[in-house]
Amino acid sequence: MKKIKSLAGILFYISRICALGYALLAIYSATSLLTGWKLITNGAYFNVLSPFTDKPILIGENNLPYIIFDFLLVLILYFIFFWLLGNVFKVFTEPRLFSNRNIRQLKYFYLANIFVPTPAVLLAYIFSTIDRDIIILVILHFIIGIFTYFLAEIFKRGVNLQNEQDLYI
Amino acid sequence: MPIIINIDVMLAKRKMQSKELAEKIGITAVNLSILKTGKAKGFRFDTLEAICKALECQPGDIMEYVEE
Repeated sequence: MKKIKSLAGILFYISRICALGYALLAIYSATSLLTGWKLITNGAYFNVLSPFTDKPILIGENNLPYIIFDFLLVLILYFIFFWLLGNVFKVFTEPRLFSNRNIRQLKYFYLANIFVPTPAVLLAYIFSTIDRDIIILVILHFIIGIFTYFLAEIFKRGVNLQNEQDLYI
Repeated sequence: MPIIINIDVMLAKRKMQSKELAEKIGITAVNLSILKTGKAKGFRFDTLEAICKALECQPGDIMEYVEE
């Protein structure tokens, strides 16, 4: 169990770093797009430049629906995904594994993975084109959601067994 | 539950308080309360042994079977 806790701890911090990375990218890109700071537009495309160098770090189509639904929304949703993923890894670092709080964290993660990607992609599809890779990503998120749902159900059983065991004095 | 735990009777006979018994047998007062009120699913043999030792009694003195 110690190994799992250590690994979960490491993965928690990696997830948090990824989440913060996506959040910073979203805020920075939004600022750049709104103010024109560190932004280059080449007609059909825009380039968001690095704040420290002038090298492009992000590229996208220069139209509002793309910017909102295919660019910013994706960054925000992946911030949420990595934040929730971090919470799931944190579950495995807790001293008491089977608890209602931990089940809730798993629930938020599987609900987000099952019910958010498809509407987000459909919304983006209304306003712009969708690559085949995006469909594969949606399916992968759905599968992750289903596995996490199974894990949450196992944890619920664990909580019941634990509560019963606690009543053996 | 058909098995009734009658620790209170033995506590009264030995003039001992629940808190004192809980400390002697190494369980929390909450767990002893769970045992006394019939909410426990069961108890371990070492707990039973500790109770009998602390109350100087036999297992049958603190347990009773009542058909439902």
